[in-house]
Amino acid sequence: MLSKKLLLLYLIFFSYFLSFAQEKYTFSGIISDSNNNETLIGVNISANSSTAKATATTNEYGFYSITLPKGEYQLSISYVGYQTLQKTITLAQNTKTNFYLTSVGEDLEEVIITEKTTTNTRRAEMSVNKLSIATIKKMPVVLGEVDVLKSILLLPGVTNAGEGASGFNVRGGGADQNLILLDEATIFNSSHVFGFFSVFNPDAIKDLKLYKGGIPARFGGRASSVLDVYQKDGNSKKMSFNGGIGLISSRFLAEGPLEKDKGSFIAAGRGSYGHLFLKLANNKNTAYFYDLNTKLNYKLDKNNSLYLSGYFGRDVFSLDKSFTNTYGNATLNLRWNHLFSDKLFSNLSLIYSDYYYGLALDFVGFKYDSGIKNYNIKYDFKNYIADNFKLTYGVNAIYYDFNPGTIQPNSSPARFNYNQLDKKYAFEPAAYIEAEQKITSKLAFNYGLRYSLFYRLGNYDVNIYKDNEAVTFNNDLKIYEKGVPIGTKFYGKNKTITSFDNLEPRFSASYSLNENKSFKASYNRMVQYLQLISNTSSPTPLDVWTPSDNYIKPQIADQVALGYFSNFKDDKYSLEVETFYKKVKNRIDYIDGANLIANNALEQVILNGQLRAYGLELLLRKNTGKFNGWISYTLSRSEQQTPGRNAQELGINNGNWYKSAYDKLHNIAVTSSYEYSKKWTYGANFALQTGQPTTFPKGNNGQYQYQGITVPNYAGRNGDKLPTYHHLDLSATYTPKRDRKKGWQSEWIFSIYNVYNRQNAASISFRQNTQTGNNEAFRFSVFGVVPGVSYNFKF
Amino acid sequence: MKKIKYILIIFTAIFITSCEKEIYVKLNNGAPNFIIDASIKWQKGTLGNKQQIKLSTTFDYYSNIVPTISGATVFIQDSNNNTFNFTETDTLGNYNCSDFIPVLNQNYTLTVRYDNQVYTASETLKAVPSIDKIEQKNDSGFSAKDIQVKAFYTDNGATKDFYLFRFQASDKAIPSYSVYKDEFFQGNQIYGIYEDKDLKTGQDLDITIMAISEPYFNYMSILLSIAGNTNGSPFQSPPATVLGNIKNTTNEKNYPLGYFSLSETDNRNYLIK
Repeated sequence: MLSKKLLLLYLIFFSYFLSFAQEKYTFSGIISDSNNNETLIGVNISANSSTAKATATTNEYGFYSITLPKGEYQLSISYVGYQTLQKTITLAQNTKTNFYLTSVGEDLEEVIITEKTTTNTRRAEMSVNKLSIATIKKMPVVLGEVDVLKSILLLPGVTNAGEGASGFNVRGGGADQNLILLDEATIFNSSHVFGFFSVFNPDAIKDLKLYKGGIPARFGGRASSVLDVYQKDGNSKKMSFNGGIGLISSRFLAEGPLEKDKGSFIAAGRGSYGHLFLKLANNKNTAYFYDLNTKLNYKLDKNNSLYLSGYFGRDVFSLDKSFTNTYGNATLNLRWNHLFSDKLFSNLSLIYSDYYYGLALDFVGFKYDSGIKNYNIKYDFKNYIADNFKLTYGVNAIYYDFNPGTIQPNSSPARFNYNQLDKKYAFEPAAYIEAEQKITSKLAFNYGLRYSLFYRLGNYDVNIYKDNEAVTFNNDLKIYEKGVPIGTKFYGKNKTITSFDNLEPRFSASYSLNENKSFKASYNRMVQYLQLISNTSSPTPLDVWTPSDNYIKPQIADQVALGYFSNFKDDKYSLEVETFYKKVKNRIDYIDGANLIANNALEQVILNGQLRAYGLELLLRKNTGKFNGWISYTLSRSEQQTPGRNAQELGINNGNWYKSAYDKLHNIAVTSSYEYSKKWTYGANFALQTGQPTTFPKGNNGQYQYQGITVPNYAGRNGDKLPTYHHLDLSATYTPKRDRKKGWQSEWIFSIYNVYNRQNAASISFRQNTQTGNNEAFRFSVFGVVPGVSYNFKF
Repeated sequence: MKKIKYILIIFTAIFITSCEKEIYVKLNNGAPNFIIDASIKWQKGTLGNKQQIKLSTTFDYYSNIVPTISGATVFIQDSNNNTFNFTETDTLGNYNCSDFIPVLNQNYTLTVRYDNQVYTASETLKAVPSIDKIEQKNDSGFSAKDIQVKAFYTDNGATKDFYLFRFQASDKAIPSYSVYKDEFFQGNQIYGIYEDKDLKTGQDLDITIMAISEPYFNYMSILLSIAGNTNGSPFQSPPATVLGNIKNTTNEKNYPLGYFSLSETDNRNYLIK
């Protein structure tokens, strides 16, 4: 059935492009940095002649391909932070040419951003933000620790649950709805230390791209967004080293050729050392994190390259040796780039990734291990059929192995019994095809279709419930209760318990009003088969992922977006205005008092609801000059509803819509940098947001007495909000003159986070004073004013 | 297992330069509720004939004056149709009974009549194991200086059991509660834990173990989490009105808060060494 549909589509595309066939030649190759051969992603290439004109951008592997009629062309190759390359070429046959761009500045990577980050008004792609690591490194941050995830919070439509909270929320979606990819491998938990730092070592990262809408068909599996992060390949010209020393952590990176100009390696490590101070203070507690990034790449010949990349990160906490907590991600990825022709690029990936969470509670007497493993095979093709028609297609299949928890006694005598919660298995294959097409010089379309399938597999005893209801409603007491299984059905290994399949259409279009202005529109459907079981406003490391089954349905998101894009004043400024509406079916919520940890029958505490989010985003950027940066503003709403399944049931919050935990009506972010001199660069960030939704007790009926304690009597869910959140951060980067003889370059970054010491409320809690018995409200703030300094070097 | 999250929160709080400050928060008003606090407790080795039920209403969050309910009719019936009347003996909203007959595993029904509304609830009296022993540890907590007390008991391996512990330290104005279920320690000797940085040598710790039903376990889990100190944190689950097992048979929508529970109890008074 599926294959027939795809075949049909394929035939349509082929018949389409055949009609274009005429005497044309293809001009293709790889674009990389002249210093280290690092391939460059998203480089703009334009070819002009008196009669023909074409543009292209390099893909994730630095590859480009342009097909044009025979003739002489003026080439212009431009990229953020690099000198634009101008060249004349004569195209008389299929030609393969690699280009090398030279970076503008020579001081570390902190190149002066004479960036041409103008918004692309020509391509249909919209709702996408790209950040170069150079831009990210300039921003002032808490304790001077450069953070990839914190930087994206300054973009329109992106927020999180507050300071020190993990994850991020895109266009009113949950943190679990973001597909986070590191070299194509899924990262299940993006934070260290519960959200204070991200798992991405900035030194090892080349580039990142955030898709908020109009998501291409090659991505799937999450409802709201895709954060695509690429690691550096490594210097294939010469050995080089860089690193940094900060207050919390230090980094060191080594890169060099495996074989000059053919292969390279990179190895980067990062670790925190706060625990060493604890040790010095003779404190028995410890807390640290570390991560390792590695990558090898090798060009077998001009048509074949291999990449092997890996990531390993862990957080470790231990309290008095009676409580030990370890968690982190690991990924391993082997990729093979192959050029079938200069028009057909392919990449085959074999990816393994896992997330582990372990806890040893010696004082209670047990050990708890949980995790998720997945094996992914992916084959992607990009077919540069004609200058105005490109086709991307591919298949992938993921096998998941979930361990919701193993409980082992670790005291003697054993107080706890060994318990293995049911392991869960699933298989998620998908196929997609997508076309990028220029209809006229003004109109461009991207249209595609993804077909995804999901199989929930045995070995598993599936609970069976009366009327198929795993949660029952007690009409007498008006509360939801766990259903009691009326039986179980056993499914053997790899037997399908239940399956889903969905067609996910993707579409975006742009209409150019002139050279610098365009309107764009997009629609995407995204299906998410995994659910993060979390009842808190931001994810915690302890949260478990669970696959869809008979009771927990896949989330299905539909999003439409409209936008206006413009570059003005000679591309000095650019403006992006977008509006979106998103609706997610089967957004789960939990019955009151649901225990989500070590629960072997999660379906008994889960209700299916829906989520809607809508908003307006503005992004005004100054692209050039010594002073540059952007202002972003988002006006949006994010709400959830879990109605009763029938007239008797109350649903959650009486079935009414309630604000999601990450609803922020207003969100303003300003980031700027000013190059004062060759030695000094200054940066500033300002953020202002509506306070997070929360629930307060009712004023005049806010408490009652029960069994000697007072109990707060809460109003409707998320009907109140925390005080307005804002802070201003400053940074100064000092770059001493480079010591040319030793080849040693360094820089100092001084920063102050939250300059005016705003005590932003991370939470307001209500409780009874145990000494006096009086009720009190407490504001908990995470960061006051935090100064930071870090030292970076390169040799 | 829920405790793990709290531990994480405490840890996070210590790890960073965070700050907690008492503030005044202006609250929005809402409708009142009727409160029935009916916990029947039968201490091992006693007759269990003296019991008390408290009636009140919700009141201002920042007030200390508990409104009381006067003029209500309160009684409990057992499955043998014995009626035990609870009469108003003071102006504090306390209704007392002196002829209650506790019988293990017997079902009881509570009826409260007040302001032309009739409230009812049913529950079974559960048996509880004895406290076997009490252990004290003096190097607990983040500072490794806190006192920790464990009260051991032996779970019945044949039944699915739920426990409620009440700890009242002599320096505290209010008791501390915790709930446990035997899912992961079926049939083992296990303990309830009390740990507090204010606990000092020479203080008294009053320890009570109660056996409770699964619905009451669920109720207390929610109630303790919203009465505890984790609300509003990033780790918080959204607080909601916690509904008990008492139904308003006159007007379903005008539901009362509180719970009707019955338990055998074992009590120890422990002097901190």
